[in-house]
Amino acid sequence: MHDVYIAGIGSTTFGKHVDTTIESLAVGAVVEALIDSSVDRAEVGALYLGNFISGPLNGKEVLAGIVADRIGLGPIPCTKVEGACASGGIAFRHACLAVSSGQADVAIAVGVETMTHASTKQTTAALNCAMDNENDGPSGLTFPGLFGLAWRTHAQRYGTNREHVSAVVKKNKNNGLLNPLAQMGAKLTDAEIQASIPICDPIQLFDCCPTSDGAAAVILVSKRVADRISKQLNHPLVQVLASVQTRGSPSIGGHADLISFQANVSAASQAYAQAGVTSKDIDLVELHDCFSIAEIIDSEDLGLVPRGEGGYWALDGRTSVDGDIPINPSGGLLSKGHPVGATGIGQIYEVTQQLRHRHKNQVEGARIGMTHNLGGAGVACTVSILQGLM
Amino acid sequence: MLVYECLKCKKQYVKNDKICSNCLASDFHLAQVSDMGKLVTWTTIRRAPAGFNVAAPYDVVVVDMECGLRVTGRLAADSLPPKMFASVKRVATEGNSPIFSIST
Repeated sequence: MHDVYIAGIGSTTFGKHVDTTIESLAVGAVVEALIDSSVDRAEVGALYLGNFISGPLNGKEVLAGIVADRIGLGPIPCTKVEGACASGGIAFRHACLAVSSGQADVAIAVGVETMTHASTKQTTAALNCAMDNENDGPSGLTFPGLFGLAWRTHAQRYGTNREHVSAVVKKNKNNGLLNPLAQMGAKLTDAEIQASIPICDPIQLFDCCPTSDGAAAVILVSKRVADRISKQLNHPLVQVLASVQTRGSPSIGGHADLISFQANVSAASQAYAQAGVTSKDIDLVELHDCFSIAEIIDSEDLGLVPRGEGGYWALDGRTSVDGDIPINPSGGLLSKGHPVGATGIGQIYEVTQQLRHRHKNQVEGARIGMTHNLGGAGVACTVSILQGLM
Repeated sequence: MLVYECLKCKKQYVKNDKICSNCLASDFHLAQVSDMGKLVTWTTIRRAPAGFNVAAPYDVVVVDMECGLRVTGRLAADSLPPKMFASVKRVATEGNSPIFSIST
């Protein structure tokens, strides 16, 4: 991926926004990003919107066109993309492609979801649409359950225990305390985590991300526009070195190993090659910790932590903000929240703040950052690598 | 246990997918395979999804069948407790889900 730059970012807080419509949340994030970019909206050539369940939970579709209409964009292509929890990451990649292919000099990627107005049963049912409901759903499996299955396998093979996984929970909840966008930062003890209600053994309540409302947006520009605006900006540009999307199995039966997602492994290896860097060059990562054990699995799949050692690294503080590889300094999904379609763009927002050296949990000297967004039972994955041009 | 087997390449499926993902052929027949398998992992679901008509808690299991298929199912309510790599037998099908029991 060459010559695609992040000129502006915007985001709502992640949490409860019950008095705001889903399109208004998205509009708010886009306008903030446009102002941050100093790009005139007349230059926008494409808009991609990531969203998963606005149909079942809001009774609203064609959100991309609605949002563009609300901010007075021209008759440009506006596309909603869906890849379950990876919807935002997919929107970002498509916007990158629009710019790198020369189709647009300026493209908007926005992600949005509202969930907290719905009952837990409604939300669970909507989220379960991302499962293979022919092969896995009939058993009564849920997404927390999927990661309960994975945890038990990781525990059996590598000795990963409650204490290891709690280290991930404590770190991410604590990171969220300083993030002004985070839904539920907290200082938790092992005892409090252990006392939380069981959901799908061994997953307990504090191992699960919350349901959230929120939106995030990014303005992507070509080199030509970047050169023109760079002096007007009050922040450095961030270059997109790689943005990759891969497919994995939609079903448990298609995963050869229950503690590794092929889509993760393949996206990471393609992204490193596209960016011309290795895992050792990554200064921080925002990855898809929808459940605590997922952070351990993802960090290993991305080659950031040796296979089987994810829990041990968390326990030893090696994934903390000042650790060997800072993971989720934003608080991650566990603490910042998971407004599903917005999450992937929210990760880009967080890493961009890090590469501008303006994050509340700043990783010292951060130059290259990675994002990782995973959908369904591993059916869709995006990995992006960004570099700050300080 | 009956599975759908592609007549052309012999790939087997738990459900009738109509088109074989391996060779794209569309002719299948039902093949009898062993009900036995090995429990690969499990979880106890304590909150069932909306509309699911089995009362929680229940155990969801992943089983590697002797025929080579990896399937997701549920443990029978009267089964022995789940154990990693235990031998299991498919004893029923309920609501399109295979139901397993731990073999002694």
